[in-house]
Order: sequence, then C-alpha cells, then structure tokens
Amino acid sequence: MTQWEHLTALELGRAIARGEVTIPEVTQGALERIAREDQVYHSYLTVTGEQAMDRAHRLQAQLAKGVGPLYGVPMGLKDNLCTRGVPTTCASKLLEGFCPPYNATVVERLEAAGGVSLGKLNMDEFAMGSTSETSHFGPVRNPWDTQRVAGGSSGGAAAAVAAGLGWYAIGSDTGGSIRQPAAYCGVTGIKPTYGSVSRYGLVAYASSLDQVGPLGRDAADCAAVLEVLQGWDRRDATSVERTYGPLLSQLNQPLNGLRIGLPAQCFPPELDGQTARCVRQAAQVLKERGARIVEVSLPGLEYAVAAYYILASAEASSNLARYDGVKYGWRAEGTQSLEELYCRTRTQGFGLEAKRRMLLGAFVLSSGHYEDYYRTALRARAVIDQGFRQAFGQCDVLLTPVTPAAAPRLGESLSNPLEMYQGDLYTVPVNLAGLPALSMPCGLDGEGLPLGAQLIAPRFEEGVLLRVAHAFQQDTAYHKVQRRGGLEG
Amino acid sequence: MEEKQNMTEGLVDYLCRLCRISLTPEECGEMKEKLAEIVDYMDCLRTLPPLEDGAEGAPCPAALRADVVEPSTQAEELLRGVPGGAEHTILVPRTMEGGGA
Repeated sequence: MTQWEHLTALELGRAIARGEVTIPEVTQGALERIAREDQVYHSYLTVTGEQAMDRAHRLQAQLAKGVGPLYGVPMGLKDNLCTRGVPTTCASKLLEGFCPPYNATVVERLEAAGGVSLGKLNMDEFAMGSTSETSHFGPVRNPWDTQRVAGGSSGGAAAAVAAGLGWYAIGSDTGGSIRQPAAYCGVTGIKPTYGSVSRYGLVAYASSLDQVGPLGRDAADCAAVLEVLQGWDRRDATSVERTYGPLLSQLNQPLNGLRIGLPAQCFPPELDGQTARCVRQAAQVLKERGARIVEVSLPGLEYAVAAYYILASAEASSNLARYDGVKYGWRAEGTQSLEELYCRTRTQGFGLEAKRRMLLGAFVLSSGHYEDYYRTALRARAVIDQGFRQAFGQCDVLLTPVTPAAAPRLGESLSNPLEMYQGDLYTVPVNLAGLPALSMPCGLDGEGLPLGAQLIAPRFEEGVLLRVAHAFQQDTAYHKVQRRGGLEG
Repeated sequence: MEEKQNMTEGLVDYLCRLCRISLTPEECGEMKEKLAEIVDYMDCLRTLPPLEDGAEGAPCPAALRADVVEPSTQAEELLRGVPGGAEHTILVPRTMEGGGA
C-alpha cells in the first residue's frame, strides 16, 4: 500500500486526480496522524476535523478532469490568518476563542484551488519570537529532536510539514518567520516579495514587513502554492497590481549563466563551520548545474538587526494597541473603569515578549527618541535597500545561510532576547528591503539536525528563486531526508 | 544621535503607561535590564553612513485607491465576538461619574 504521507503535495494532487486515492481517505489519514503524533509536537492549536472531512467529501464529489494541481490536498494555516467561524488566536490569550467573521484573501484563494484545511497552526504569540515558545498555549517541538525548538514564528507550520501532518502549510514572515523554521525543520519555505501576496485577513504585527507565504516539502510544492496565493487584491493597499507570471511551468529552465552571489559579510570567520560548509557546498552544486558563482559585497548588513527591531517594535506597539478587551477577544473580569479594563486586559492578556516589543516600540517612538531611533532606522533601511541593489548589479541571486546554526534547545533562547534577535541576522534584511527569499535544506550538522540555505532575489523574481532551489533539489536529497526516527511505516 | 537617555525603572513605568500595561516591581527590574541591553545594541546605528542619493525612508509600496461604498459584514456578525456584549451593544465599565459598572 502506498504511504500517501510520504508524497509531496503535487504528487498527492496527481494521485487524487488519477483516482488512485480519494480526498476523504487522505484527509482522514492526516487527521488520524495528527491525533496520534501531535500531542508531542503541538504544531496545531485547532484541528477542524469535522469541517475538513465535510469539505473532503464535497471536493471528491466535484472531482473532474482539469482540476488544479493542489485540488484535494490537505494543509494547515498559521493561526494569524483569519478563518471565518474558526478560532484565530495568534497563539495569544488575548484572542482565545475569537472567531473572525471573514476569511483572509489567501484562505479564499486556497479554497478556490481545492485546498482542504486541517486546522490552525501554533506560532509565537502575535508572531513575535524566533522559537514558537512564546505561544500562550505551549511551545512547538521540533520533529527532528523534540528537545529542540521548531523555530518561529511559523514553528507550527514547519513542524507540521516536517512531521507529515499536512502536505503544505501557510505561514507569515515579518523577519524570517517562514524561512527560519523551515531551516530548523528541514522543509522548504518562501517569503514572497512585499506586495505580491495579499495581507488582507493576516493579523498585523509589523505592517511594512509582514508577508504571507508557503512552506512545503520541496521547491515545486512551494511554487504550486505560491502560484495560488500571489496576485493583486484591492483589499490590501500594499498589494501590487501587475501581471504575476507562472511559477510551476518555469521550474525546469536551466541555470546556465545565472550569477549566484555569495556575500562576504554573510560568511564571517565566527560563523559556525558546518553551516558555512553546507551553504558553500550548495553553491558548488549550483555551479555544476551551470550557474556562475561570484563573490559580492552586501553593505549595510551590520545595521539590519537593530533597524529591524526598531521598526518592527514601533509598528507592533501601534498595531497591538487595538487589543483592549472591548470589541473582541479576551477581557479581564471585574474592572471598575474603562482605563482599568484596558490595563488589566492587556497586562493579563499579553505574554512577556509581546510586552517587551510594545515597550521597545513605545520607547523608539516617544518624544526625544523618535529621531535617534525610528528615523535613523528608516535611514538604515534605505542603506540596506541600496546595498541589495548594489549586490544585484553583480549577480542575479544571493546565497546565504538562513541561520547561524541549527535549532537551539527549548528554553535556551528566551532568557536572552538580544541574542535571539541577533540570530535573525540573515533573514531580517530581506524584509527590510521587501525582497523575496527562499529557505531550503542544504545539509545536516554534526548532531543530525537540518541546516538551511537562503536564496534572495530582486523584487518579483520568485520564479528565479524557485528555479534555483528546484535545480538544487534535483541533484541533492536533503529535502527528502526524514526527520530522526522517520515517518511511520 | 543625541546623548542617549539611560533606561531606568521610571522610564519603564512611563512606557508601561503609554502601552496601558502594568508590571510587578520584579518584572519591571528585569524588563529594564533587557531593554537597556537591546537599546545599547541599537546604538550601532550611530555609525550609519549617509545615504548615497540623500533619500530617506522605506521601500514600502502603498497605493491609495478611491473609496467605494459596498456591502460589508453585517453588524450582528461583527458584534458576535464582543466580550460581554448584549443585544447589539458593546458593554464597558462606566466611563464618567467616577467609574463603576
């Protein structure tokens, strides 16, 4: 009997279309695996089993020739994407039990493509964190080693895909929240160009940086999902109206002559040797595929983490001001005045990391500090943007590590937030410049944990990223390596 | 950048008031320590070079469109998630006359 959970989303979609398996069968199988295995990983916050089975039966009844490649394929949604009538908590006590009255645009698009949602995925509270340990409902555990974090903030999405608890997942990426957990869990993830995927219905963390994107088992799956997600949406003012080209059909174009840049600043002497070696080996594989490897400079990188945390915290302090216990979400009981209602609701409702970022945001925006921090960070953002433009004058795609090292142990990161922030060195510059970037598995460290390589391209060049990653995955098997212990069967 | 202000517990209290949250004295002390470390690190921006073309700001696209009136979510549906709401209303503690429900 075929192990359907071992297939990629596209392979499963083909099997469904050919009638080799039914949508209710694979949906039921996935729900059973979640019930059996997710008590350990805690990748899902809400499992919508009944709705998933109803939808699976409806889609099966409507199955016809010519359906899309993801028709009937079960997946999961990060819990900061609004889903009509289904709890959307952002992993926060403040939104516990909140059921939005509408769907995010990406949810509508996935439904139109025949997606079957298995439920909502665990994450860092309001996407603030790099480990998924700030979730009010408990941390996500990494399927490769359950004593380690799955990364964040889309830790549930990465863990679910890695553990075979969904064929793909939708996450969001403000400073690396798709790419970093993808790297820690040995899956592929892409953060699209800012403006290419609608943020309507994505609960805002830092609006000038947030972007929705897919995590999957390989680049081809990500291409198929992104092809569904991308496109203009009048309900998102930052959505860009343009023609979005096909992604899947471009995957097999050769890499001949493509210039891949290795930024010197991304490989400092203190970088973990295994990480540096794996990423450089990835460059070698691409060279053998016809790409040309060039050393480039990426000026401004040293300012990225500081600029990012100033801007993201400032935007977060503004965005999170709306959670006051009045119109929706959780409310503190027994308050005697409106001011007390606000204060007690927010004090008891937000976790420590969310509070830290709001306070930091209030600090950098406050009188006397705005010019020194917020305005300076905006200038740093422009310097970083210029740095990328300069680098893309010498190459077509940049190749860097995703993280300095593999997934840390649970509990190691939150006690030192500054160190945790500094670990985002390779991912945050991409968000500051609004660029697309992809994370793909490129090796294992000495403890058998996955390491990731990051590909970065100019705006709206997702097709090139996916093509390079697909070529790499044709010649390597890192994306197929099973988590320690492997999937059952 | 001007001379920076040290992170103090008084400053953390002020920020808490701005954010409408409260911290215990122990939490406040720890928060002060962590915020001070983070703000110290952010001072690396003091060495930021001038921009080549003098441009400032973020590469963040945002296109404004004309407002169009169209059907929206029903009020009843929007009010369904109100904590402590009743009969199409949002109930909050009294805001005048000294408080009290």
